[in-house]
Amino acid sequence: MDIINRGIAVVALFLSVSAFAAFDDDLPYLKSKWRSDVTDKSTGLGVEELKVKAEKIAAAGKGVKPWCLVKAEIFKMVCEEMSVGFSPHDAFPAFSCWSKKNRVLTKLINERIAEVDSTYCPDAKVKSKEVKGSILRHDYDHAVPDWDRILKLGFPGIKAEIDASKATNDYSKAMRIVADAMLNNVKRLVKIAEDSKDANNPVIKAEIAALKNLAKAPPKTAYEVMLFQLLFFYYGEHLDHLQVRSLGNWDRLLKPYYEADLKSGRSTREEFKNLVKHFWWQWGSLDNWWGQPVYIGGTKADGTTEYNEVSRIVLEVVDEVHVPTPKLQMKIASNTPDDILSKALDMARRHRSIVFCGEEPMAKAMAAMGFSAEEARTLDIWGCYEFQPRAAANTTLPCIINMPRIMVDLLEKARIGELKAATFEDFEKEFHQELERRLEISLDVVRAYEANMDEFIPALVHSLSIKSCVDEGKNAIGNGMKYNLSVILQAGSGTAVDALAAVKEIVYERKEMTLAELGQVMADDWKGHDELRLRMRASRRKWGNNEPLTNKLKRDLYRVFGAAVNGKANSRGGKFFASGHSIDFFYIMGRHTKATPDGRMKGEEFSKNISPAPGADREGPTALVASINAIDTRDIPGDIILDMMIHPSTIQGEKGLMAMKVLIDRYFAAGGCAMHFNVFSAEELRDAQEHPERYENLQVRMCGWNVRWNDLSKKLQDAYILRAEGVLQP
Amino acid sequence: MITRREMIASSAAFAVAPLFARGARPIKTPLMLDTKRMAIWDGPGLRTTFFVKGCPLKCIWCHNPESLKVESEWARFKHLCRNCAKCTMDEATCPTRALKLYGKAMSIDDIVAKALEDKPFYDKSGGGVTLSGGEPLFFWEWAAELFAAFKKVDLHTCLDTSLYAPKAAIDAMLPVTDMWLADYKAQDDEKHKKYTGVSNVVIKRNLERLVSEKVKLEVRCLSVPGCTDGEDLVNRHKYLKSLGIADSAVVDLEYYDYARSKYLALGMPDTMPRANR
Repeated sequence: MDIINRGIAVVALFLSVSAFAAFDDDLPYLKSKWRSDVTDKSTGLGVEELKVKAEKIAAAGKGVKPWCLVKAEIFKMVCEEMSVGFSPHDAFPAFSCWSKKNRVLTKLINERIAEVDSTYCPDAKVKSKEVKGSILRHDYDHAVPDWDRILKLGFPGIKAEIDASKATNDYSKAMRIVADAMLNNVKRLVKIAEDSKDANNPVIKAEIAALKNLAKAPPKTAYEVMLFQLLFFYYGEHLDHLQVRSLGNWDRLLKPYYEADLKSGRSTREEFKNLVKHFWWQWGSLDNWWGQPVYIGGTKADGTTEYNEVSRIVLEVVDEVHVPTPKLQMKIASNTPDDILSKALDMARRHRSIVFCGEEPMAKAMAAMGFSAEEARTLDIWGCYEFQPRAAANTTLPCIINMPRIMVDLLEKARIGELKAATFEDFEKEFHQELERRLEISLDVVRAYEANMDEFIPALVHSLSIKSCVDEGKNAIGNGMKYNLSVILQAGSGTAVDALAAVKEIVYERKEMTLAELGQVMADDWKGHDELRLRMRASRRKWGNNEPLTNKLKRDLYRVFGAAVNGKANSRGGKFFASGHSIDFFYIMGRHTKATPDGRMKGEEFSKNISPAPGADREGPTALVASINAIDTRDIPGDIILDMMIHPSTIQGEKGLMAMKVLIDRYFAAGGCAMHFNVFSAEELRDAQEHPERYENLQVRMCGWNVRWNDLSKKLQDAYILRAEGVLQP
Repeated sequence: MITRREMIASSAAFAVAPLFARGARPIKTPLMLDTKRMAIWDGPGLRTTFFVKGCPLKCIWCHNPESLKVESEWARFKHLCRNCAKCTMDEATCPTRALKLYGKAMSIDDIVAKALEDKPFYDKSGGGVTLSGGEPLFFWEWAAELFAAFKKVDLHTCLDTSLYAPKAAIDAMLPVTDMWLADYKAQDDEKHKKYTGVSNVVIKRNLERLVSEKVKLEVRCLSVPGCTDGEDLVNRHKYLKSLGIADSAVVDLEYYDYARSKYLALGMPDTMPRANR
């Protein structure tokens, strides 16, 4: 046995040196790997042929077998029949179902959703239309596997546990089929690799050795962990059709394997780093628009930091590969090592994909949701920057409320004489009542949509990672977790607040027109009132300036939002919570929403997350951060995210890093959970040049002082744009 | 032949008498020009910098030409102006913010209240408030009162000054100023007079005083091509060293001519020398 292990160690060492010493040579293959079918067609079927076979299995099973068993059989068929490929330029295998837009199960699941809706909640869709301009949807794509558990089990252990489970229901039977199929697929990969023309290539040889181990045991080396993660991701997201919304607490997970590799002489730091680059490029190549989340850091039970040497290597890799995805999330606390934080902030100002998440404010938000301090300490960050108890919760994001649309609809009612409000307070009350009404309908619709999730999205691969689901034969994305959460998002709360402030000014303070007349101006998309529009757009009474009126309006808006949502029962044995998150609906909804009194024209984007509307924050980053103190973040515990727009020249050098540290520290102290530094790109500067009114707060650094972007002549702005592009002309 | 620069420097617009020497400053309380929050280059930590309007110097390279006059003045930024022909000369109603009023009254209480908005940021970063301009010491009695008010609420104070001020101004500011940011514009007094409109004799005297008082001091040396670069910069360094000022307390600033649009907006002759890039 010793001889075999030593043999594997030697092969692994050889792999490290040969495969990753010349990373640049491998890059062309890696870039194309997940953007085309690079598999060996002699090994199996392409995605179109698999889809045809899947439809036949579905047709044969319809009305005969439960959907979870049909889905498991399709999964098994794909594992057995898809074509695969190996390349000396890659430490990981390729598969024919490579496209995220063309997955085998997409059409079947959508058909299933339609069937389930028509059977169980035929009125829900009609009802959802009452929540105008908002999104109510079947959301299931937000699962985080219990990586700690399955890395200890490996594929054989996963199979052994479900085989040993006392659960005998159809769901557990389906899980057994899937666990078996995954393990057999690993064995199949070994055989195909051994039969391939490159079988004697040292890279492929080492890959075969690693796969052989995964076929019989849990991962033992850092390379095997990465291989396991990629396979589990692929089985879950591409074959089982459920996004794997985090690769987990990656530095903590990898540390023991990395250290064991170093200790045994299997790998060096540099070789590990190059391997991580290959791993990172799997998602860099896949390039899902939704991005692949992964997070680092955290706090151990003894209060010390989880950051370690793997964290530093991850940061170096993220810096060097510079791909938008995987998107890195970092847990930040007072124990975060300064070199780590400084490096990450420096990377953020150089446009690297990093979000900073405060452990303390996330713990506060978790407490508001009723979770324990230990659950908060070990929480998983997933998706964009959402969080939930590790291995104990699932979260759906089934509803996004369009806040500015409420304003649009109220002003339309005023225009046609159906709404009168003698005072601004009356008008604001109408706004709040309408928000409450829409939320009540939304929660009802979501309850209906989510009552039967097992019927359309049995999350078989994911459920195998969760102990309670294995033991009880339950769906981890339905009601199978300890906490089954449904989080209600919002888009445009900043825009809505600015619009309320504008109504107050135009109708009730300056009395420039009646509510009905303002409704007409909005219906006409400001036609004939361009100067009023520009004035309202340029107004400083906007959310984000730490200004009393908009601070109060925002606080009251979130209070109403939170009271209508937080703690209400969903239909999965869990609760609803409100969130300050908007995903990209600030833009999508903005495109379809009419003009609002804050100076926004029809089709223009809203404010995103809890942030100000574009160009509204004119008092600078400190005022923006201070504004967060005005809201009670417990009203939106689902997530509290701020987007800090800032020019690279204002945060230059060591003092710039200091400023960024202070900003996130104060933001976290105010209860904000996640912060982005949106350092301006050349494209954004071009937009700033075309739309100066949106960028009033944009400052650029000269030499010892700052000037406002709009104070510069066009020629000088051009020079900055050139600088941003890195092509400064002599 | 007289150069354009010499012509401008010697023009009536730039003929400035050292008003304080005659005790005849026109006003005691300045109008405020601007407030810059999250300033990181105006002293330690994160700061709020307040700019006063009015300066006894008339540096031809001034990057804040709107700070020269003590009176308020209007600027119109042509590249923002839509020529709507409905101009009410009201900054708040200008739809594109092309119109800007430089110089607004602000009470000491209001300034302190504004400064306190960012106190959590100062406390975390070791920052505070900075008074700049214009020339704050042009209004030194007011500045001393303001700084005393800052000290009452425990704010760290920095004074950004040309040091062109009487001894009484230094006396008044010493007890309430935590750090001095002093510009030292030219070693050669003829050049100093030519390009700033005043002699550096008073400035040197004040600088020497600050050194003797052992204050926390940073001296900033701007190097303007064709005016105060080269030998003059070397001589400034030598002089500062001779005073015992550590190299780490001397900051050389590169010159940029990015403020031209403000000269145009204010209707002022553009006197800025050309920058090297």
